[in-house]
Amino acid sequence: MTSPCRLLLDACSIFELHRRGAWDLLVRARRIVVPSIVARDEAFWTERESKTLIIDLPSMIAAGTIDEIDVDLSIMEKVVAQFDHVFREGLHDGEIEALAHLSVTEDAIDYCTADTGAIHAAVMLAVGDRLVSLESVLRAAGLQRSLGIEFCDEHMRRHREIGAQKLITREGFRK
Amino acid sequence: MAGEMRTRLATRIRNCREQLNLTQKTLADLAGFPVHQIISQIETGERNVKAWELARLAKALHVSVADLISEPEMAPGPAVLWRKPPTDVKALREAVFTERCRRYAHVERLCGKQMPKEIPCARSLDLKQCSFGQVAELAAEVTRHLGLGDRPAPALVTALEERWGVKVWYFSMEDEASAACACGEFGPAILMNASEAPWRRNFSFAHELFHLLTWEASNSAEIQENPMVAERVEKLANAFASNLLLPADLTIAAFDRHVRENRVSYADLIAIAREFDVSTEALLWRLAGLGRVTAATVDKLRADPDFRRLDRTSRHGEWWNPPPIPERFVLLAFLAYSRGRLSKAKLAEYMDVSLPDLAATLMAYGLDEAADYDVTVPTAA
Repeated sequence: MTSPCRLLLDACSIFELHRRGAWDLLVRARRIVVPSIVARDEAFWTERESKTLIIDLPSMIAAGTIDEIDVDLSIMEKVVAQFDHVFREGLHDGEIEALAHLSVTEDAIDYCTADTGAIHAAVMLAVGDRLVSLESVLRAAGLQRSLGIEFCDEHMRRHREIGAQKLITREGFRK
Repeated sequence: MAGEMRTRLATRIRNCREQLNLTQKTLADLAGFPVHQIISQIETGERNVKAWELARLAKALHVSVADLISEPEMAPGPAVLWRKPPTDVKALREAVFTERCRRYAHVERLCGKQMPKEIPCARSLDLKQCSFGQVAELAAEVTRHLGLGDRPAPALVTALEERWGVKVWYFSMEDEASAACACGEFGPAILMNASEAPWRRNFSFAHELFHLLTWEASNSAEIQENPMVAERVEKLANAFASNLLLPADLTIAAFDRHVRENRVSYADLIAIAREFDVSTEALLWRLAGLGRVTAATVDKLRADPDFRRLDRTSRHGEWWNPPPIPERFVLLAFLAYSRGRLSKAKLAEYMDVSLPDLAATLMAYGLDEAADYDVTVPTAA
């Protein structure tokens, strides 16, 4: 049965799931959502067992297998306005779109990202409670896979802490 | 999307497009939109722009999404001085160049590198009055300051990047342009034509360096709008390059070693040019300036097909192509990524590759994503 809580994935997690052969299984277990910028702007493919897999997110969206988020640009502007130039420029537009969505949605949603900047930013925007590691997502779905360290619980824990420090010190926020 | 945002986007996208001399159709093609009417609807404020559409437009216009949606309005880009500007794609080349320079400055800041905004030996010379002797003195000072040694050309670019934070980019521009420079909020920067011969590039670097050293004057309307003065400034820049890459005493010593009975062979002239890593033409003009050959000899040699053929064939093995992205930039961007200050997707964007190609591209620069570069060793007490 699909969990009622949607799962918002960043580009790296999408790759890792395909690379580890866990994508189809996870799609059955969770309602997957992707930022529209990631879905429409990335060339997606990965290598698995010496074969090249094309990851066609637009077709999956068209078929209703996964969803894409549609964020109003004024919400993105509000997110962008919170951060200083240097911190903000370190984030990919797809991550800003994901963070904008998290900052306004009241739906149950988990945000799975391996990116340290995005983890820090989520905590700084007070949506850190939505963050989940890919390791924990797979564990909850009963899927065991060996993952890169950036997808593991420890990476998420460490960078949540750094995000929390930034929230206190205001480092990365627009002055 | 609020009407205010629609209006803001309409104006900014139109302005950016017009600055790049792009038609609505070309922009639509670059952004991968099926019909160009989308651009027209956006620019008239009739269409709600979606986030992914905006991301594609920002990429095609060489600005960031934040530049397009944020208050206050983005500042105009810095002036770019061209040695020989491209005719059709000047604005586009400048947009790509300044975008890359901003990225370069960004990764420097992420890595805590505070590079000077101005070149250390910068001078406010009166370029209408300044003598060739003053230019020679400036070249000697730069050589000392950068520690360029007896053969300055091979050390010049690295010294400019590492010591003075000059952002160096190479674009393949064939015959459309030679080189350009700019000095913006990102600091001093040089754009070089990768299609030029390496020894010609060295001269162009030194030439552009003169403009950066005298940026305020070189970039002034008084000079740019007066072709006579602009031509004089170009001559000063050439004289500076010549003095910098071919120091008088060292060039004379190298030349005199090869003179036999008041004659010098073609092969020896080419060998000296190789030794200093400059073109034979630059060497010949320098020797004429130093009174070692006559201007008539220079003209004769330049017109001599045997000399030109010998020159071309003997330097064939010296040709090298610069990497598409400067190694220093790649290293800093990778460092910023590995320290968690730059997102992986952003690193791929900065490296101009798709996310799946990132690991292989980094490997080509000798960087392994999976390696731990933060391992430390104790130093001696």
